[in-house]
Amino acid sequence: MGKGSPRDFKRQAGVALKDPALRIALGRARSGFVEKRTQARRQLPEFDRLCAAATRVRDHSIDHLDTLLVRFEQEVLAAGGQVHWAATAAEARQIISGICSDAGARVVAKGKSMVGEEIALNPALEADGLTVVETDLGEYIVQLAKERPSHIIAPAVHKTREQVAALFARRHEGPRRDLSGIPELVDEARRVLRRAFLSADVGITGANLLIADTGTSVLVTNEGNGDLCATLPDTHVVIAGIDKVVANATDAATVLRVLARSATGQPITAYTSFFSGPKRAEDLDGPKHFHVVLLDNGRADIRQGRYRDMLRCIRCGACLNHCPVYTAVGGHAYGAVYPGPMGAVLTPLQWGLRESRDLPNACTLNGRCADVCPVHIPLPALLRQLREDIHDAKVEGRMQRWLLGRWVRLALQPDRYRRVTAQVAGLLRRLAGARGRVSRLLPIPGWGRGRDMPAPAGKTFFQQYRTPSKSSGDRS
Amino acid sequence: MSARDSILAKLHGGPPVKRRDPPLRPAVHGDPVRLFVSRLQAAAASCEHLARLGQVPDAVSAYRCAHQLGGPVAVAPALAGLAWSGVGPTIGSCDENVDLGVSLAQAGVAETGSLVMLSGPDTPTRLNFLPDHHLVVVHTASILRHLEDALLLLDASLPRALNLITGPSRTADVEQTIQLGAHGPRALHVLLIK
Repeated sequence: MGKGSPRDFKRQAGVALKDPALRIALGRARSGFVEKRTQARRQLPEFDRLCAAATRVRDHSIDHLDTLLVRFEQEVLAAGGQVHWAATAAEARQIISGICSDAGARVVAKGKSMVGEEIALNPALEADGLTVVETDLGEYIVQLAKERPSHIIAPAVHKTREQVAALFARRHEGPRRDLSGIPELVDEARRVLRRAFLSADVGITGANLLIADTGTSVLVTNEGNGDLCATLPDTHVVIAGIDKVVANATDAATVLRVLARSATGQPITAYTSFFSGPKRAEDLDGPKHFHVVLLDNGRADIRQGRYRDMLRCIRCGACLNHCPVYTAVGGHAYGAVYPGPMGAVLTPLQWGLRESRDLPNACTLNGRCADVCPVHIPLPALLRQLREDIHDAKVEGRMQRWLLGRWVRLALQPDRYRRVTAQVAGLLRRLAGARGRVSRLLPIPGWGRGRDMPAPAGKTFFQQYRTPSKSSGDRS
Repeated sequence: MSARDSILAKLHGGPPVKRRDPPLRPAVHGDPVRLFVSRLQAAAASCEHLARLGQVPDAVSAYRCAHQLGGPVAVAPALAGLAWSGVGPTIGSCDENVDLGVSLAQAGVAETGSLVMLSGPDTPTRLNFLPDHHLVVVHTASILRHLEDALLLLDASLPRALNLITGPSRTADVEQTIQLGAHGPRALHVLLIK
């Protein structure tokens, strides 16, 4: 699981850019996401106003997390379920481990959950001797390959169909069979995973929202795997961040309208389910035991600081799909649970500035992520803020810090600044020659290797300012 | 201090305030039933209009014929009173061998083309997810305009599960190519009763 680290972003990004299979996989997926969202937006004239409404709903939630969470807890208890609070990832693992052990579980069927990834749940449960089966197809592929998701809604987006076919042929039992098409791959996974659903003692799912008024956990899927996890096993465990709660069903509807459209371009996913407690006495099916694990893991601290807006995030993935950096290097290069722009904000806040100092810099500040964010998170502004924090905490690279320090000293001495910039401009012009471009910026090895730079204009601004203009001689 | 107390201590917010922003819902123009059907079809479901509830067993037989299904059929207890003699279904229980499930939707949502399925003694949830083919009976009079209208049912009865179902199961997890029948039903057929 724990492949890569945010610390190695530069190296990992370099490897990703040269991986031919990754280039094919990302190329096949990229335009799809963007087009589908654009079309969904076009088909709903109210889309932008609905996004503004969803932003207000999420702000209201974050402002009143305490009352909403307490209300949510009351309602789950009243419906016969249990609520557990986890301040840290380790506490959450312990709680879920305990629930599985109380249930006498051997097999756990999991629906896709980013919080599950965040707390590294699977290795913990496996260490308890449990068989844990991821049932979302993408998540299952990633589990079989012993990797981690590279996208928050499309975990296996980095894999080509050929790679998935080879993986299934290697890891599944059975005679030689045709796995060349996507239908065959999906059918094979369905067959294998059906057995897991039917034998599972515990089902674990995430939640896209929690509704305080009714103690309801909302789950959005297209495959139906989450619903099978929530229906067949005797115990259903929901794991969710404390930021996921909204006040009531109306607020939930407002967020749902923009969630699927931003994520996959669907007006609504095939399955949007609302779970409120264990099976009722007269019900014919459903879990006997129902648990919700509420995870903080840094969220309450983020709420108190300058990055509060980040807690509005509904994990749609639109910022990933529209990010030129993410779509070039893929999710694994980030070496973190949450990749792309939202991950470049969350990872430093959750794992520390030093560990993740390269992530906020992996951004061109083009602003597309903020444009497509359905809850108006000012991602570029937050990333810029993080760059400042990294500088203030003195954890950026030594070279970068040294260069910035030189620059500041130079910029504070106007005479010297003019002299040096004029010299550098002249030097670059000579280096560029007739081509007019500098292809290797030798003094900046990492940065210069992949970039051409246009030759500077003939003279610096000050040189031009001092030369009397030919056309208008009236400057005093 | 327990984790609960320490988390809540950090989260202290203001007193709950009433927000003044007006509820915003997308416009639903024209006949909600027609919109419901077109949205469902856009989500790869098929629809059929029936004049009476009594015609459901025949429609199920015809569907089995058309799709060459010979396996067991499971029917929600809510529909047990119909004349099922030609189909011979099991009532209520549903295992992995069932290849066709017939259930009753509490309502429909025109805005999204969603079926509103409530769990309950007469409407078990397994029927909605285990069989390869899912047939759902819905009364056109129960078709609501907006999502909010359907979610009021949460407040009213609070079932264990409320499933909004919009088309058959699907995945795009391999190369973002949509493929139907990932884990839930491969086909969804809706019988609309006048």
